[in-house]
Amino acid sequence: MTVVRRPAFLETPRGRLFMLELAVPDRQSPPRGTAVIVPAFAEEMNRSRRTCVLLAERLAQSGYRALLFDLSGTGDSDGAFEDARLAHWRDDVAQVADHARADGTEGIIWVGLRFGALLAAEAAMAADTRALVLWQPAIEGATVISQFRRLATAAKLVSKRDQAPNTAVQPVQEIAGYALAQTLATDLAELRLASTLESCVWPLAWFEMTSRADQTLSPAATRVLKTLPASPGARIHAQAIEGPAFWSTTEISVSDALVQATTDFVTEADGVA
Amino acid sequence: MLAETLSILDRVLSLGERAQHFTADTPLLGGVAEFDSMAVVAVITAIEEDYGIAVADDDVSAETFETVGSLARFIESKVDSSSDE
Repeated sequence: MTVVRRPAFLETPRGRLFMLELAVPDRQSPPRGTAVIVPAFAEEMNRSRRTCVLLAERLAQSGYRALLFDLSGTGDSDGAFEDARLAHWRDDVAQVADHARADGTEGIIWVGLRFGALLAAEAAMAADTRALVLWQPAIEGATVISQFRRLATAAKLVSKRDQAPNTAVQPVQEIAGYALAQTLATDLAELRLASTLESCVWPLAWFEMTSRADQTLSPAATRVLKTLPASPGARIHAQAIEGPAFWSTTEISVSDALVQATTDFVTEADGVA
Repeated sequence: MLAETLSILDRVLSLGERAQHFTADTPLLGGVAEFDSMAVVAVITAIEEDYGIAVADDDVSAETFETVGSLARFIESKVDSSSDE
């Protein structure tokens, strides 16, 4: 089965939003559903692209339509990173969801990686949702920002420059080639996965990459999962998978095991396994 | 702790088999080409997530990442001080 990749641009008030649609065209039957893959933040997005595409291909081969897109001010979408705001990104996700539904899809399968998990969880709450898959989710937006800011400190260690890092808060801070606006940082710091997931009523998968031989979830993940109330329909699948932290490895790496486990979860949630 | 350190390095740097030939004396910063600023951040993040602890930026210096051994000692000190609390 040949997967067809169709690039498209959605018109938004901020300009054009780049989207890549993957599917196996079949005149006999429509797609089993649509998966929207919400990308990670800044450099993590670049490094994880290959695994995200691999997932889109695998889902397409399983009869789904998969949508990859770039948030405003990132990748091939219009806008500058410096001008990106949380409100824009929320709207980007909503636009992609509208596009998915325009084709008659009922219930979106949301997949969010790292920071993208925070956006995907919010979108899942708002939209007609079939399942939510979190890949090494960022648990708090504040952590995403502090880890990103750390890149500036780390760059100084690596380059062995000994001047003190400039930690003063500026309206726009240059980090690893990204102009991070303080406004964006402040907005993102409000995001909390646990509170978003409180009213989760659909199948939820939480995947983490680990190097631990016993393949247990991180203490942080266990803590959040414990807080989720049991609700009808919310079947929770939590799994640690042995493999690379592909969103941050210097050499681009992929996790086929994660892609397969995700595809299995999606098809099982649909009862088409 | 050396084995756990190597396992974190392997996951973060995607070194494959190479990490298994590393010893405590293997230099990291300036010694391993893959060890860029993303890798430094990823190692700190992995330590925080794996052990459920917080690492302050002030605690981290170039010496921490000098060798595999210095990184292992750093992780040990962080894990020890968090379990004392």
